[in-house]
Parts: sequence; structure tokens; C-alpha cells
Amino acid sequence: MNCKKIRDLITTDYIDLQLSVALQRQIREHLKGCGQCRKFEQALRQAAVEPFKMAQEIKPPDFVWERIREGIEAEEAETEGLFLGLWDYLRGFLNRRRPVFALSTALAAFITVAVVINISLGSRKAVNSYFQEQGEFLSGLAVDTGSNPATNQADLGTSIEEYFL
Amino acid sequence: MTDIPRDILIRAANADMQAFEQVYKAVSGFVYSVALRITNNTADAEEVTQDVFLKIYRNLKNFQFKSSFKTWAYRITVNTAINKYRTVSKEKKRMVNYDDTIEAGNTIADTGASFIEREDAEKAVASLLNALNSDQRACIILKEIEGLSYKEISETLKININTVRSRLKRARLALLGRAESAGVPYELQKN
Repeated sequence: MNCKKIRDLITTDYIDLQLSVALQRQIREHLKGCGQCRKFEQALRQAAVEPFKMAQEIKPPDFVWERIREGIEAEEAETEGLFLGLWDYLRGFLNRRRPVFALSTALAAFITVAVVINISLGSRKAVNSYFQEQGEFLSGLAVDTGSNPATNQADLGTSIEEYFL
Repeated sequence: MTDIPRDILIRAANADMQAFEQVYKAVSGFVYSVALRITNNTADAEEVTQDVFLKIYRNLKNFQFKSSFKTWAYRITVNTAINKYRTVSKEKKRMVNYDDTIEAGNTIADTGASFIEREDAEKAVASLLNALNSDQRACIILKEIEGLSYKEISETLKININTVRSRLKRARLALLGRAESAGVPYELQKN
């Protein structure tokens, strides 16, 4: 492994202990014999690794939690208010529209009754006319057979019918 | 970051404010630290922290425990902070170094080091991070300060593990180059 490759590995995996034990040992051996790479490793640790070891966790000021709590409460109140507002709107809508609903219900009932009556009247007319037609037909038959047999015979039409008769 | 018991998270997801406050106490330190180091501005970091916890509160009920809460919280924090930083940078608002952090009343966890040592260390860290772009900065913060593994960083930032390597490498070489130009003797690209 050449120095460039060694330095690539030093910059990340070697410093962060991400290499296999064998590779880690191989680089350590290289560093023992290569002054430039050893210098590189020391400079890198000094410039880019060691300073961060002094970094401390910084706690937020107390008012941040107060703001968060207030934010949550405000959001919950807003959500609750939204539901209440929606319910109020619906209730108001229903109250305002009650006469309209009553009128539309009455109108629907009227139309229904009218349609039902119309259908029943229509169907009775049809039945009456049917019976009337049938009555007329039957009475016509009775008149024809009784009054004039000759005419009746002439009315039979075909020669086959005449033969059977 | 300390692990938070699952029952606390479930209670917090069910709008239990006491449980949510416990979650806040457990993670607010790293959320604010990461936000501050990425945005480099106390007001922005406070805003990011607030946004992050509101997002956590809103979405905790949808958290499936498929990934760790830690990774999830880091992801929300880093994304929110980077977005804030980019927005602010675009708007060219005046940036205030977080040198004022301690003066503004924020507390640094006590580790036994003297106040001046800690203040100097924080200034040095801020100065180094300022030399990096936001993507490199996020990687360095998660690796060097938060101690995440390459795999955890890739899951947090939703990037390939080789991208993590590449960003860390560029960031470190940038810091090395900066040190060199500031007088630290090293012949960077020889051999």
C-alpha cells in the first residue's frame, strides 16, 4: 500500500477505528517506518480531531421549554377551537335552514302524494277502458250470432271453414 | 444522549405532558447543542430546538419504533437546523457567533474544566465548524461531538456510508489545510 492510500485511510477509517484489526495493524506498521505519514497523522489529529474532544453539551435556556409548552397548548387549543367552531357552524347552519328543510319536506310529501294519486287514477282509467272494450266486443258477438245466421255464415270467410261447418 | 424508556415515549405520544417533559429533559441538550453548532446563532438554535420538539410532539404518535428514537431525533434536529441555516444564509441575515452563548446565560455541562478553558474550547470548536459547509459540519458534529458511528450517521442523514466517509474526509482535510495556512507546519499533499 502506498502513502497516498495510507493517508486516505488515516483520514477516515483509521482515525475512527473502522478498519479490520489486520488493516489497522498494517497502517500502524507503515507509520513506524514513514515519517511523512506519521507527521500527517499527527497534524490531522491535532487540527481536525482533538479540538472537538473539548466540546461540551450546551443546555438550552429555560424559556425554550416554556415556549415549547405554550406552543403545544396553543396548537391543542387551536385544534379544539377548530372542532368547536365547526360544530357551531353546523348547528347554526341547521338552525338557520330549518324552515327551508320543513318547506322542502312538505313539498316532497306533496309531490309524492300527487304522483301516487296520478298513478292510481291512471291505472283505474286503463282498467275501465279495458273492461269497456271487452264488454263492447262481447255484446257485439251476441248481437251478430242471434240476428242473422246467413250474414254470419258469409262472414266465416274461407272455404275450409265452410267445409267444416 | 441517554436512552428514553419506551413507556415514557408511549405516554408522551398520548399527549402526557409530564412524560413529554421527561423526553425534553433527556434530549434537549443534544438538540440545542447540535442546532447551535450548525446554525452558529443562539436565536436560531432556540428556534430550531422549539421546532424540533413541536415536530417530535406532533409525530411521536406515528413513531413505529422501527428505528431508534435517538436516530429519529438526530435526523429531525439535523434536518431542521440545516434548513434553518440555509434559509438564514440565503436571506443574508447577520450572523452572530455563538461566542455569546455563555454570556446569554446558557449552561455548559460541568466536566471539571475551568470556565475559561471551556469557553476557549467552545470558541475553538465554533471557529473550526465555521470553516465547513453545512453537510460536512453535520457529519463532523455527529461523529466527533455526538460520537455516532458511520452507520448511525448514514441512517440519521439518510446518505450512503461512503458519502459519510467522503464528507468526513473533505471536512478533515479542510480543517488540516486551515491549520496549515494558520501556521501549523505540515506539507499536506506531498508524496
